[in-house]
Amino acid sequence: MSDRIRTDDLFRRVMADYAAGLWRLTAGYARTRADREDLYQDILLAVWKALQTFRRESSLRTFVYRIGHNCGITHRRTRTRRPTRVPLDGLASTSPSPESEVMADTLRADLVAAIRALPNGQRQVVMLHLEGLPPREIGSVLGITANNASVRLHRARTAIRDRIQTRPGQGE
Amino acid sequence: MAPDDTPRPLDPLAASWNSEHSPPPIDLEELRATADARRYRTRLVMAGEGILTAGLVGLSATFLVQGGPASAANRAWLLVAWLTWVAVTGFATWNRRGVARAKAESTRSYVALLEERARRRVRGAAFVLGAVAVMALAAGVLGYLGTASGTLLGLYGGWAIWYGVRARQDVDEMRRVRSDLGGET
Repeated sequence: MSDRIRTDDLFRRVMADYAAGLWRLTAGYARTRADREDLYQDILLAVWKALQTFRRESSLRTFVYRIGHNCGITHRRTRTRRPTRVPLDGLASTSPSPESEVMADTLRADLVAAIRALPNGQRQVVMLHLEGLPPREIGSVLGITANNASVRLHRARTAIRDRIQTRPGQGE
Repeated sequence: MAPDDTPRPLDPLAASWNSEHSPPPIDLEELRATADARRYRTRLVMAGEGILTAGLVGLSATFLVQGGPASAANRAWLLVAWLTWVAVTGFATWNRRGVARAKAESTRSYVALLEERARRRVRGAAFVLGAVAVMALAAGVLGYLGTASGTLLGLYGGWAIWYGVRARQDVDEMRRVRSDLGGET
C-alpha cells in the first residue's frame, strides 16, 4: 500500500470517528461560525499532514486531539497572516426550530461561553473531558499528569457551574 | 462516535456539549487544494531569499571582474557575505523543518517548541544584523561602499529587522500562552 493511500485511509477514519469532536473543539477557541470553519479547516489540514508521519506512538484519538488543541491555541496568532481560504460547504440550517430546541441551543451557548471564559489550561481539560477522554488520556494530550488534569477539571466545572447558575433562569 | 470502549461520563453538561454533532462536510481534494494555496506564502518567503541571493551573486560577479589593489579585500568581504548568507538560509530551512510533526506533540511540548524556535529566530536575526554592520564598516573602511553593495546591505539589514521583530512577537505570545496553560501543580 502506498504512503498516500495509507494516509488517505487513516484520514477517512479520523473523519468518521473524530470530525464531530474536532468541530465541537473549535467552539472553545473561535467565536463566529466563520472563525470556527477557518480553525476546523486548519485542524484537518494539520491532521492530514501529520498523518503522513504517524507511527502509533500514541492512540489515534490522542494524536488527533493533540493536533486540534495545538491548532486552537495558536489560531488567534496566525489568523491575521493567512491568505484567503477556500470556503467549506454545508451551512447551518436556518429553518425555524421548536421551543425545546431553542432552549437546548441557549443552554449550549451558555456552556460554550462559560468554557471560553476559562483560562487555556482549564478550557482544554474540560473540553477533552466532555468528549469522553479519561484523566490519563487528557494528561497525555496536554503533557500534564492525570492528577493535574483531575484538579483542573474540578476547578473548571466549579467555574462553569457558577457562571451558568448566575444567569437569570438558568441552572444545571 | 469514538472507536474505543471508554464510557462517556455521566455528566449533565456532556449532553449539552455533544448536542452539536454535525460538522461541515469536507472534501479531501479540496483540502489538498487548500494546502497548495497555503504553500504560496512559503514560496513568497523563499522568493525573497532567492532575490537576495541573486543580488549577492551579481555583486560577486562585479567584484570579481574588478582588478587593482583592492581585489583581495573585495574577495575577503565577499567570502564573509557568502558564508553569512549560507549560514542564515541553512538555519532558516532547518528551523522550518518538522513543524507538521510538532503539532502532534503534547500541548506543553508544542508550545515550548514554538517558543524555542522563535528565540532561535531572534538570535538568527541578531546575527545577520551584526554581520551587516561589520560588512558595512569594512566596506566603508576599504572605500568601496557603492550603490550596489550599500543597497544589498540595506536589504539584508531591513529583512533582519523585520524578521527579528516578528520572532520577538512570537516569543512574547508563546510565553503568554505557556503561562495561561499553567504549571504542573
